Amino acid sequence: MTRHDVDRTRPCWSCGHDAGVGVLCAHCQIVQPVAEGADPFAVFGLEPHFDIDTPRLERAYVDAQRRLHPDGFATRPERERRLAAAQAVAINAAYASIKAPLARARTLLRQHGRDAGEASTETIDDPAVLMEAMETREALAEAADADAVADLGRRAAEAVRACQDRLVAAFNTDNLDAAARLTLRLAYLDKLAHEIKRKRLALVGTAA
Amino acid sequence: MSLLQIHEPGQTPAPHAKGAAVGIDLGTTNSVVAVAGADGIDVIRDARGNGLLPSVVAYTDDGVLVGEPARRVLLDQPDRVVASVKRLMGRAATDLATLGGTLPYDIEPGKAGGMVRLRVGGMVLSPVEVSADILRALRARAEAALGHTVDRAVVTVPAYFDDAARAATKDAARLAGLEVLRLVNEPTAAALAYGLDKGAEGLFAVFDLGGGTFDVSLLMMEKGVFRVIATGGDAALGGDDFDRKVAELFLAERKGAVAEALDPSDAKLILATSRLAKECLTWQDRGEWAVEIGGRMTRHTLDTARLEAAIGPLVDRAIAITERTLIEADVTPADVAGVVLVGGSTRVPLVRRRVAQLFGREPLADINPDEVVAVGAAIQAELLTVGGGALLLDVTPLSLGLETMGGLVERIVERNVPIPLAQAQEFTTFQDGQTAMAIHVVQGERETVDACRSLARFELRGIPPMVAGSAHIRVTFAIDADGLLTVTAREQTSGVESEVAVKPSYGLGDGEIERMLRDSIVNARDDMARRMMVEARVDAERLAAAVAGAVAADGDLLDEDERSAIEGALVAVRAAIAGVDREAILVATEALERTTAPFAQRRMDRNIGRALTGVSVDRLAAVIDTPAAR
Ligand SMILES: [Zn+2]
Repeated sequence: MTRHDVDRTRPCWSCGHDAGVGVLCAHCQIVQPVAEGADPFAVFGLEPHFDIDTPRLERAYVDAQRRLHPDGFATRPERERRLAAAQAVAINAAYASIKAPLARARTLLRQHGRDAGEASTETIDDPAVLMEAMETREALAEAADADAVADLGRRAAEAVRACQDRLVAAFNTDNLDAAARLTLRLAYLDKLAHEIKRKRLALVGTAA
Repeated sequence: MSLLQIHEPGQTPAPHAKGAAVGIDLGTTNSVVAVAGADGIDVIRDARGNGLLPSVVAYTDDGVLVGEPARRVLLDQPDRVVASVKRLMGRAATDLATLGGTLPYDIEPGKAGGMVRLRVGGMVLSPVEVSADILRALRARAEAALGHTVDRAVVTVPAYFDDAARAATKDAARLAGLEVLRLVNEPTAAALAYGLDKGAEGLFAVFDLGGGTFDVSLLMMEKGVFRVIATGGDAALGGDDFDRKVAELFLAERKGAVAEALDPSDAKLILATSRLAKECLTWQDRGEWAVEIGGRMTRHTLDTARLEAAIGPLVDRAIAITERTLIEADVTPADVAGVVLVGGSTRVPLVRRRVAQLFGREPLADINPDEVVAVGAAIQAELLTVGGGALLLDVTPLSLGLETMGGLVERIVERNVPIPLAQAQEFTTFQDGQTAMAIHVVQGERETVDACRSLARFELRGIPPMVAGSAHIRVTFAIDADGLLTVTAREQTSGVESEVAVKPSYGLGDGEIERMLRDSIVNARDDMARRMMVEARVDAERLAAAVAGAVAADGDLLDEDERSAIEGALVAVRAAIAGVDREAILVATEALERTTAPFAQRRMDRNIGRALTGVSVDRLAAVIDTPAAR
């Protein structure tokens, strides 16, 4: 039983009995409509922490798709098929909002009523971060071969990991100001890692 | 049917009441149909044991021919034959690769934009209709083999097929009278076959180089769960392109002062010769070939070195796409537990060598690379209709977005994201009092609209006039488990809504589909007649086989006259089976039943006698019953 299930019960659309709190009716096991605004952590039976148990998330995700993926409803009536598809979509959306660390940090900040810094107009004002980003970009522009780019990629990955460790600490101590700042930094690092990856992709097939 | 009443329990299945669900690989070069049977998956084969149906259709005066017979027509009447139609699904004429400026298709001119139309045998056909003819032939093959109606199918598509090509494939199945249970990506289907048949576990790469398309997928296979991690490919890279390279070599060798003008028929013939030349080099080092254009015949040799030099750059392209897919998934070749080869073009030795080199291991091909996709599709058809423990989780192959100002793409759905999904983004008006907004949906990885594929254009109208920037227009992209897209736009404050299932730009309009379906109602009557004929034929085959078996086992119960009467009736049945006249088949079958009735009675008596003298009835049945023709 997951947490978002607890706060509401509704009548089942199919049998009319109390459907209970799950995605399937407690009485007849027929799939129910998506509960709006569910906590994505609770969808997978997790506490809303930054430091989640990733293998557990993966298991819960697969279990949820096992129950609700449209393939399991191919021979069911139209309405059930539609509801199951909507549930599968909701599961994928919940998964996407907490799987990657940056998405997870933003989801947590939003849950605490914080601006998650997603607007593209949002800029960073930490000069150290700006400096570092500029240096990496320069190094990336100069990197001529795949090895040099791969090396930058490793360094970027390390920086991402370090930032995530600090985010764990910030969220664990409820230091939301620090968490918001670090999330912004993580977004920058993510973008850099993405640029490095693009350069790696562009270099494929060019080496003799 | 008295003879058939003696069965070993559980041996002869009752004919299914409802249509069966099959798996279909609708390929560029060959198509395959398979079905889940009692002992696993059966690829349905023709009388000569061939599971591959060449994806070649001939429109002759005597009707539509599909497969090997159509390929034979290619030699005499190339203008009536369509091959590699899959490359045209959801495509415009400008998307196609030519041979020296000539296409091996006769394209109906004057149709700017939209899916191409083909001129063939005096008709104008859409690629969807030609594909439907291939699907009809596969369906007929399955029905003849199974002895009952087939009306549902899992149909595979290249993972890298865009939305227009997917929608076109689904339309073709509809025209062929098949309900599509699911469109499954070809590499995913192949992985399903390896995972379930061979128990493969871990991170797998599927390298699928077919006749016209290339896909590479990375999948995590664990305890019956098949999760696609990343997919890449090129919807216009395959064996056909290898053939084109060989044809270009041959054409260059034909010494002539002027460049030869090819017509589509010349192009079809030289490409067919080039394909043979390529295929021969799979098992020998060189071959010699003749090319005749405009009455002038030339001879050409092709050896492995020249072939590999010619196709090398194409193989490089596939390998580079594979490397990029690994990088995108943050995976190194060493992380991959196994590499699966799929598609006829992976038989080309150079392809195998390069794949082995990249991954540092020999790739797997222990399930026939030409059949593995259909096997996977049949597994999925069974999962969907009967159930089973496996779960397939696939991803979007290409990013989706909208055109914004300056011809740029605003990306809404990223590639390699699990489906089904829904993703929304808000837009606003940029002029005061703007009441409509044009929405242009594109698919692809590039930043500019003209470098992406245009999927659909529609307009959201009736927005209440507001100051620029104050409307909230929410555009939602929904992708279902078939990978098909629906786009909805909604102005949040007024609730004005507009929705398109993405099709118009390159797919067929709904009107066209309706017309084709109407046309096919005429065909449906033929279909019905054909199906009844097929069923009569299957029954007759069963009876004939059972009689032959009974005569072999208990022939001593017959006198000379009876024996020759039965043999005469058997010959008549076999002759009728060879034809297509249902009445004749029924008459001959009835005659055989009448002739064998006394014999059947005597066998019953003898069997009872045997049972009484202590012979196990089960063993008896095994002796008496002849396996029904399946
Ligand atoms: Zn209920």
